[in-house]
Order: sequence, then C-alpha cells, then structure tokens
Amino acid sequence: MGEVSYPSHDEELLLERCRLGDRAALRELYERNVHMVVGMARQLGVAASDIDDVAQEVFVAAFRDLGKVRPGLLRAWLFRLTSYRVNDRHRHRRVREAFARLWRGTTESDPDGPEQALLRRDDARRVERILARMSRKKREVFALFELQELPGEEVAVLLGIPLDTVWSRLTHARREFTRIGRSLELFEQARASGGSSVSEKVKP
Amino acid sequence: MNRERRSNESVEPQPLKRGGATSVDEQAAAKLIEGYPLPPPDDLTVQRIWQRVASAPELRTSANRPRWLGLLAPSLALGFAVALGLVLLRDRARPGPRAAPLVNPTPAAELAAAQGGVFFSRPAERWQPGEGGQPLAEGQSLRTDASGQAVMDIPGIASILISRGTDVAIERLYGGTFLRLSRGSVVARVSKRPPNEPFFILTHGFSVKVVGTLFQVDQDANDRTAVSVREGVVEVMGADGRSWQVGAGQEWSSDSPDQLGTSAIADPVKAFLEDALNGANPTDLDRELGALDGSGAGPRAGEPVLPSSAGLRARERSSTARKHLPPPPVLLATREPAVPPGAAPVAGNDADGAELALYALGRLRQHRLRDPQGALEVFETYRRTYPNGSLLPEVDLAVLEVEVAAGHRDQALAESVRFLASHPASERTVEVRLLRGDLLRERGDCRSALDEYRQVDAGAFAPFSEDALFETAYCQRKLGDADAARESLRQYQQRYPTGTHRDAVAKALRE
Repeated sequence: MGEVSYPSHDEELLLERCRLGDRAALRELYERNVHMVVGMARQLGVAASDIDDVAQEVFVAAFRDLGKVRPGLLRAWLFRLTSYRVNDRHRHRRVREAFARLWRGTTESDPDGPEQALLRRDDARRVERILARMSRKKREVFALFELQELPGEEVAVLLGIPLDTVWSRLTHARREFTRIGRSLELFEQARASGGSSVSEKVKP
Repeated sequence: MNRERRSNESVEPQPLKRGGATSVDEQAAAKLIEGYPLPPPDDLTVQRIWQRVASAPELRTSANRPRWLGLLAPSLALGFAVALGLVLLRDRARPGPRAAPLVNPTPAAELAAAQGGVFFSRPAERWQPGEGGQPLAEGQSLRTDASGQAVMDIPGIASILISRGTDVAIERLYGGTFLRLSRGSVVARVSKRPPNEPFFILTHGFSVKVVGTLFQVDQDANDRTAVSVREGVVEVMGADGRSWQVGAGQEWSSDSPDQLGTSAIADPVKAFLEDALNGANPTDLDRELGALDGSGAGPRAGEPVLPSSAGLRARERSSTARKHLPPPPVLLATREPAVPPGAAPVAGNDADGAELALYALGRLRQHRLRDPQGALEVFETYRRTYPNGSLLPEVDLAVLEVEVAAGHRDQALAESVRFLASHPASERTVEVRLLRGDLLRERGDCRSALDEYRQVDAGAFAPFSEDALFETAYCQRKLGDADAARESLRQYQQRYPTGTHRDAVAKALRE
C-alpha cells in the first residue's frame, strides 16, 4: 500500500540534510516516498500515462519548499502536495474538455484518442473518470479510505481534520461516487463487460 | 487494521469492498473499485521519475552547491532592481529621498486579456490603451468602448469579464475588494470570500455584496441597476438601507426590486471565467475571449453567450420573465463619452511609473510583508516627493490604515483629520468618518463619535450606514439616552433585517 513510517528524529535529520542541499539526502527522501506519492496519485485518479508528470511536480515542489515541512508531518505534507496537483490536473482537463465540446459543438468529447477509448472499457479507467469528477475533499477521503484502505484515524491525521469529519465526508464521497458512476452509466458498462482486472494494462 | 474501534456514538464504517456497501449502487461501486489498487512503481519508473526531478531547473539551482551561491542570483536581481528604480526616479523634478525599488511584486490585479478598445487610467490622468498582462492597482479605472472587452483577474479572488461600453474603477483591493461600476456590464466569478475580505460591486445607487458566486451586474445611463446570479447568493443594498437577497438562477432589477426574474448567464461564460480564475495563460484567455464573442471558432452561431454592454437590454429581449420592465432605455448614451479607438490618449511618463511604484511598494510592505514601519516610511517618502501626487488620497488613507492597525489611536485620529481636510470630495470620506467614529468611541468620546456616525448614516450605502446606525445606538446608550438607543435599534431592524448585527440588535432590544 505504500504506507511508510519513519521515526521522526530520522526524518528530521534527513530533512535538515536536504535543506542544506545534500543531494544524497534528496535522493534518499525521494526513494523513501516515491512509492507513496505514486500510489496516492493513482488512487486520486491520475491516469497511468500522467503519473510521471505528477510525481515530478510533487517532488520538485517538495524540494523547493522543504523549509515549510513541520517535524513528523512530511507524509501528510506530501499527500497534500499530491492531492492539489492531481486536483489541478483534473480541473484543467475538465476545462479543456468543456472548451473542446464548446468549439467542436459535440456533446461528448473523447480527448484520449482511440487507444485510451479502448482502455476505457476497463474498470480502472472507469474509476479514474469518476474520481476526476469528484470534488477534491471527497476524492481525498474516498481514495484514502476506500482505495488505499487506511483506517479512519490515519485518514484524519493525513488530512488534518477531525475523525467525525472523515466519516461525514466519506458518506458524501460515497454518494458522489455512485451518483457520478450512475450518471456516466459506468456501472452498467462494468456489468456488461463482466468486470476486468486491469492491473497489467495500467500499471505505472 | 483494526476497523472495530468505536468513535463516540458511531461505529467506523467498513470500506465498500469489505462489505460496507449497503445499496445496489454502492455494491456496483464496490465491484468497480475492487481491482483498482495498483502495484507499486517498478524500479525503472522510480529511476525515470528521479531523473526528471533531478534535472528540473529548480533543483539544479538549489542542491549540491555552496549555500552562498544561493544568494548570488537574488543579489544580482536586487542590484538590477535598485538600478532600475534609480533610473525611474532620476528625472524627478522635486528633491527628496529616493524610493526603495520595487522588486517585481505580484500584482494585486491585472488585465488578464483585452480585445478591441480597452483603456485604463489613474486618478486625474488621461486614458491609456490597456493590454493583456498589465498590472492594475487601486485607484485605477478600466474602460471598454463599443469594440472592446476585457478580463480583469484578481488572483485567487475573482475573474471579471468586462463587456463592451463599460467603466469600472478599482476602489480597493486589500482587506476586501471594492469595484465601482459606472456604466455597462460585468460578469464576475468570485471565489468564496472570508467575512473580513468581502467583495463588493458598487453602482450609482446600490452595492452588491458577494460571498462566493457567479453573477452579473449592469448599470445603465438611467441609473438603473440589474443583478443576475448564476450561482450562490448576492446581497443588493440600496442607499435607503433596504436590501435584497438574489439567489442562484434569479435576476434582480432596481426598476422592480421586489420581483425577481430569471438569470441568463450562459454556460460558456461561466466556464470561461472559471478558467480565468484557475490561472489559464493569457494567450489562451485571449483566444477564448474571442471565441466567447462569437468570432472565429467560437460557440454556435447566433447563440447569445456573452453579455453585451447593454446587458439589460439583451436580457430583456431573451427573458420572458422580465416583461414587467419598462421599455429599454438607450443604454449606450452614457454620461461620459467612450474613448474612440483612434483617439487613444498619450502614454504616461517615467515619473508616473515611479509614483505608482512607490505607492505599490508601500502597500506591499503594509499587506504582504506585514511591515507597518517600513510601509509608513515609504508613504512618508511619497508625501514628501509628490505633495500633489495623483495617488495622494490613497496614500493618506493607507497611512491611516497602518496607524489604526498598529493601535496608534491618536495618530490615526490626526491622520483622519488630515484626510478629511485634504480630500473632502473623496468617495472614501464615508469610510474615514466611520473609522473616526470607532476611534472616538473606543477613546470614550461617545458624543463626538455620535456626530461622525450620524454623518455616515445620512449619506452612505450599506454596509457603512449599517455599521454607523448600530454604533449610533451603542453611543446613545452609553450617553444614557436609552429611548433614542432603542429607536435606533428598531430602525436598524427595519432597514437591515438581514444585517451583520441583527442578532446583537435583537438581543439588545430584548434586554
């Protein structure tokens, strides 16, 4: 699940070395966290083809602003960076699609081309389409609890919100997920195709 | 993972794919996400991403080099900026201390896109042609003629589509956004605003307060105001203290304020403004602005997507819900003639730039750098250097704000006297009087405060008059005139039923 935990003093030391410009420390920080960042990005609905871009953006931003990390909160901070970048990506995509529809006069755009359209039959692609349309806060809770299967307390720590808020957001997130799935007729498509395991096709 | 833990009253829910699904849809969702968690990235992917991260320009300049090198680039930039500032101030006519250079401050607002006849001006100056990407400051005005349209971006706060034949002035950008619409039409997409940073559009007789929404305001030459709301809620307040809530999908007009029509802001306009608010690049915005207007590869021909400067008229044609309105007036017969594109005014000189830069530097120190002393020094420099400067009212007001924020009550009162004496015709006198009232009240001089509040209440729009009336009641009670205080509170309830102080007023009247 990419869940990594380190003693805070070790993390602090590593962060201090990074702040001093120690390239080996930067590399170590990257290697400790890249699995988590990539996993988070995927679970927040980033397409496999975009994973490299998102991970790069997250780590570049992280290395640039290491001075902002508070002790013991590196993981939560990286999650936040990832979530915001993923959200930007989803939002820009929605805007592009909206303008494409407007200009082409079509009611349904297919910006991915034939190859992606073929992949769309897969469950993973369907999940991504739904996640991309969810609001950021609901997407975060849904991804952490439903996809990554983190316990509620850990979700609360990662998001910096009370546990009760996690549960209420989860309720709304489930509703939103099913509503979008219904409106895009993705559940019917999944049933028609009999469901498929797609891990081989879309792994980063 | 222990998922049996109880949290107060509720049991932690199970994930959908672990039996937490309770409805048919949730079961379908559970099945869909069953295979979603994916394997971790392989070593090749990890290596590939690292190479991209390590080759990023940001890292090349920050890692693995002596720390003092990190100061080199900023030092060079600072040196360049100082030199530029000296050049700008070199030809200044009056002697006096030199201003500190302004090092590329983030503009508080900018003209994100401009097409056709778009002009801007500072107070008491001539109009100059406006271009996309140009920073805008408090006190500046924007004008579009019959061929022009523009997008003003206030980063993180709002994107505003300025239609043809419109005049908008930026009255305030810090501690709230105040735009004055003298004529024409604007459509604004405003992000959710905290209570201490409201967003207002002021017209001739009304103020429109926004919490976070997409809406349009029209002001025609006959002092008629119309507000159309696509999302959220706005509050329209009149000079007489009356206020109206206009909700999503509704349209309000000053002609018949108690009858709401149907909003007509189109989807493409909404999408465009959201794109602008999300920081789309100027080139894209220019193209999209053109497309919105129906030119080039724009939306379907004949589709009325962009509110024209004659927004009222356009929507009256298209909306059957607004038949109660009188026949449309000649909306383009404006109070001030629009600037014809061929008669574009002359550009300003370097002294103008230095003056504006000095003012912007002061605001930067005041608001962004939280350096009140530094801000005061810059504003004092401005006063000495430009005793008749066009931005003097703004500078005097800024000094007053700094003194208030620093808790220097006496200095603030002195500054307020100076402002009222120096700029009696300023539109900001109302705010200053309200502030004077507060300062005097806090000092215990309720009688003098009462005078200030009464003047504000007599001549201002909400929210200033609202606050003034509330504080009037407070002062009257402090002075022992309970009957007058109660009468003021009743007036408040009558005039501002949804006002900010309504709860406090209700409580005071019960006591």
